[in-house]
Amino acid sequence: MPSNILEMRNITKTFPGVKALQNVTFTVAEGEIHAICGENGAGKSTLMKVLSGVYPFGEYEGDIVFEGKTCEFSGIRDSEERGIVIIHQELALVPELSIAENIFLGNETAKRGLINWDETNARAAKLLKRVGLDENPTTKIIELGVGKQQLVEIAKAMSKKVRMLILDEPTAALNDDDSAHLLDLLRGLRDEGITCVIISHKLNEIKAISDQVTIIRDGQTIDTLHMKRDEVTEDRIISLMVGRSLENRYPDRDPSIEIGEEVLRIENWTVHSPTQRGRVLIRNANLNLRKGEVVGLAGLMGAGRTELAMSVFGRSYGTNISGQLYKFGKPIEAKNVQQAIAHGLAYATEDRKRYGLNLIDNIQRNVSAAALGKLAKAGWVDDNQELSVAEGFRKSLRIKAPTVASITGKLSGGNQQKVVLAKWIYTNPDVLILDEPTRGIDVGAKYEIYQIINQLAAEGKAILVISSELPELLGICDRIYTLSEGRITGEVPREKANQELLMQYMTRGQE
Amino acid sequence: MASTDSSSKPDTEKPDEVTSEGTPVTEPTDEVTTKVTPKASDAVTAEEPVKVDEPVKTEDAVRTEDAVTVDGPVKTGDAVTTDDAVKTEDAVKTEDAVKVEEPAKVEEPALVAASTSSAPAPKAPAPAPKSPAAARSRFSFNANSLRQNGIYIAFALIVVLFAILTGGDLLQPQNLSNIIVQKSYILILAIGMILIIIAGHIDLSVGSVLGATGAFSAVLMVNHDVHWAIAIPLTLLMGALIGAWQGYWVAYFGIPAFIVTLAGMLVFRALTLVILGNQGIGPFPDTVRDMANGFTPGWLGNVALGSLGGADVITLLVGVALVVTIVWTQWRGRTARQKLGQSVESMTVFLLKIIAPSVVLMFVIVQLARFKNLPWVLLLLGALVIIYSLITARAVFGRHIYAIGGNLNAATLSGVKVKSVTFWLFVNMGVLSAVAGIIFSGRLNLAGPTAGNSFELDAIAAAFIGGAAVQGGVGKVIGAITGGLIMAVIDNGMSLLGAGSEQVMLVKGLVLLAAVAFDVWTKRRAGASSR
Repeated sequence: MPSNILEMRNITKTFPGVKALQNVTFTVAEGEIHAICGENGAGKSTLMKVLSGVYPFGEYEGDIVFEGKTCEFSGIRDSEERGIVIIHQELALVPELSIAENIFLGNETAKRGLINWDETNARAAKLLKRVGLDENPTTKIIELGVGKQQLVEIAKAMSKKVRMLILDEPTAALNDDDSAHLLDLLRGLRDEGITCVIISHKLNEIKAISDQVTIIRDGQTIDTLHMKRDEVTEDRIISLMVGRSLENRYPDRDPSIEIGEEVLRIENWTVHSPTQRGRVLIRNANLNLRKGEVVGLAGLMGAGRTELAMSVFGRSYGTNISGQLYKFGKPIEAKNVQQAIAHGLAYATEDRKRYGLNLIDNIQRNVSAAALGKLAKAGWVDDNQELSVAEGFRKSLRIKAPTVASITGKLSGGNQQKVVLAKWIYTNPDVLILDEPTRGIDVGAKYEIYQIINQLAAEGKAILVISSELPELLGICDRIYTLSEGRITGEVPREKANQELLMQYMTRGQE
Repeated sequence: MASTDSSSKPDTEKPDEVTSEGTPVTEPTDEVTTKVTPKASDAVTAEEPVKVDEPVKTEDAVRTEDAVTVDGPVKTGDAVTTDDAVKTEDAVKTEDAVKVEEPAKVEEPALVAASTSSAPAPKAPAPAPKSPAAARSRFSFNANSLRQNGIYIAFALIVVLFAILTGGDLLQPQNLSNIIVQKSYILILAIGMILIIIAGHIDLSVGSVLGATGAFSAVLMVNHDVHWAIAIPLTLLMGALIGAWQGYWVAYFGIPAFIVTLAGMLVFRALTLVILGNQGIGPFPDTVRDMANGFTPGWLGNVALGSLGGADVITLLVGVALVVTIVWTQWRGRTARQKLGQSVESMTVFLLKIIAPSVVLMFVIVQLARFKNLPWVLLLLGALVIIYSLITARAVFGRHIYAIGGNLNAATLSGVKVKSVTFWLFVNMGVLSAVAGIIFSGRLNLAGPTAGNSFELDAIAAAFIGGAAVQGGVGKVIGAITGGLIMAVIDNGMSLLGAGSEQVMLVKGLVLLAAVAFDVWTKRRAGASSR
């Protein structure tokens, strides 16, 4: 077995009132891909922040030994100098600058303060080739998709003579193709001798790519498994993560609930891009949702899933939208969000931090945000009633927070998602569109979200779930539509659906 | 153009200077009546001498005010207490000045003696420090509540500091009244400004709008003899139209408020000059002047408060009513929360939260009542504070402001009519600027071309000192008022101490920086503890 490149010993990190890490020991062998698993809030990100110097030496207890030397990083620059580079979940690229500029940002190829652009772009091109990104170094970041941006981040890391690359949820926002490419790239880097640490919720990926996996729960190291020696299964990782075994990752539906009449029908829905003239995002889409039914919408990144959902939800995205909505068979107009809500539509966004929540306000006020009128008389809000409504949701959805006065920005992803759901459930919609309802949420909370979805369906709501994770759609949906390049390319009932078939439809090109 | 402008300029600016330098007394005629027990009648006679400014010419009017305020620094309380305290040469100089004008002194000794010997001055600040000390021990561990309450603690500390430095003069009845009344127009602007800042915008034009609306009202009332009951609504309408103009560009056209209102700052200053024809217009009808400068008649007469002397009954009743309202609403909220099974703060904290502001409020009220009847402006300001506090806390409209400032995208996707809310916020700001414009010009008895210059900066500073966040989504009306009062106390306290305007400016600038730095620091701490 090769020597250890990194040993973190007895790391303890306390925040006022909370022990985020408690005697965590984390050992990474040279030249391996090492995965870290854990529920949200388990302490994975904190551990990586300690390692990369975001929390400088002195703010934590314990030792970091990197390549045989004890390190006392006082900032991220120190750790980068030693070759430890971290790529955060939220990408840190400047959208209006070019790929090359971003790669060498803060590390410019300059002579006497003047940048040598030819050399910069040439070096960038070389790096891009290494990460397998076929783009011109002068292309602006804003023109790239998330997957390609991720590759730019890796190229940037490689420009810094990286010894150890840490990736925090690198594939969370990627579609399967891009994910696969990224994982291939990581394998390639490993073969070049770069050690990788990867934080991920996607257990199948972890299983596919990593050599060892460390499981963290509640700020403590639970176990480190060797992929080849130990018999590692996804279920074993899950049970270590949550401290209990989840027999079924998807709750059962009550079979006695029947799917009823059609609630929403979308006909000939066409949406044009608001930024690029003439580009069609959605072309002649037709779909329908029925009472008590959970319908999935599968599609690769960029297929137009979110665009479809948002354009239906009060035309909140896209221009030049044509087509007709029918609710209970009658044509309706939803030209803005207010009208959409009035017609009983609800849309829970895929990006809850940017589009879903007022992060600096509390649970109570976020829950009431979309239906404040229900709590108000003549324009004045009854805050006692509001409080009891919010409190009711906190209990029924099991939002883990001491009170509804807790600030939503401080909740974990799963609990934030529950607040978003509570907000929309309180509008008492007939149709709920849930865009990536479990993105960035740990396994335990996912299960709870699925239960909520089932409950809503049982109450007779029509639900459209958009997800990048096919097993999730297969696990919870009655019917799945596939979307490819803005067209509905398939409609598969649950019994017939499987990943291969869906993928086939999702990649079906334009004819 | 330049000549007329320069001729009127000094006039309009003087009163301003006066307020900063001769702060202790701006209503010098009151001096005589200040501490005499029977007041209702005096109030009338006191106004009389001011009427000397019958001469219709503007300059005269202002000059009389000037003249009056030059006599102003006569503060007997000053003189006596400065004798007690160890004072600098400056203080001695003011004392000299004081001695020039004896008459005021005649009636004072008894009361001054009372106020110094029975020591209400050292006692006076006592209620204030109680709250910060206790609050701090309670909240020091919690960055978030420190952030929320820091402003009030800071305010209390600043008041105590200046009360001590000025030997209690700061808290003297008349001075207290002056602090509030003199800065009333800034406080009114700050109310509108905090709403705009919560929504994530800014308004740089309020000073110019104040000038333009003040000028408009002067032209109506002075040049065209329009009755004030018609002229004032028309002026408010003009404010609303100006606000609608700016609101349109910001909300519906999508230009950043910074740019729109920067343009507005120039445009409406130009409009002011056009309306005025480059000269000051005044004097205003008595009613308007009274509203801006005067006091309510003591409908219920006076009551003797022992050694404190006489006090206006109405003022006291208003104070008691306010305290009762505070206690009642707080108590109701607490019991309602308890009924819903919510955790509530412990009884001690709760009582402290009620008692501390009540005591402070009553102290201010008693001092005001001792000085004179309630100033009209204070009544108006109080009403605005209550109304806008309610709007921000309880109204759907207010909630939408916070939602927009907190996360614009989330608000849009939650069905908040973002554009309409933004538009009406600017209309509201325009109306409040017009209110401030009428009060300001009524107070000076003159609408001048430079009226309201740089008031926007004071209003913005008040909002940020009062805890608003630069990114929006955070802030309270009462915070902005406190921020404005902090600056007013610094202004007033430092001029009592004889500091120059450059020193005042320096201190105010640093206080603004410190307040926002504190906000950022506590936010960072709160943020760190969340992870």
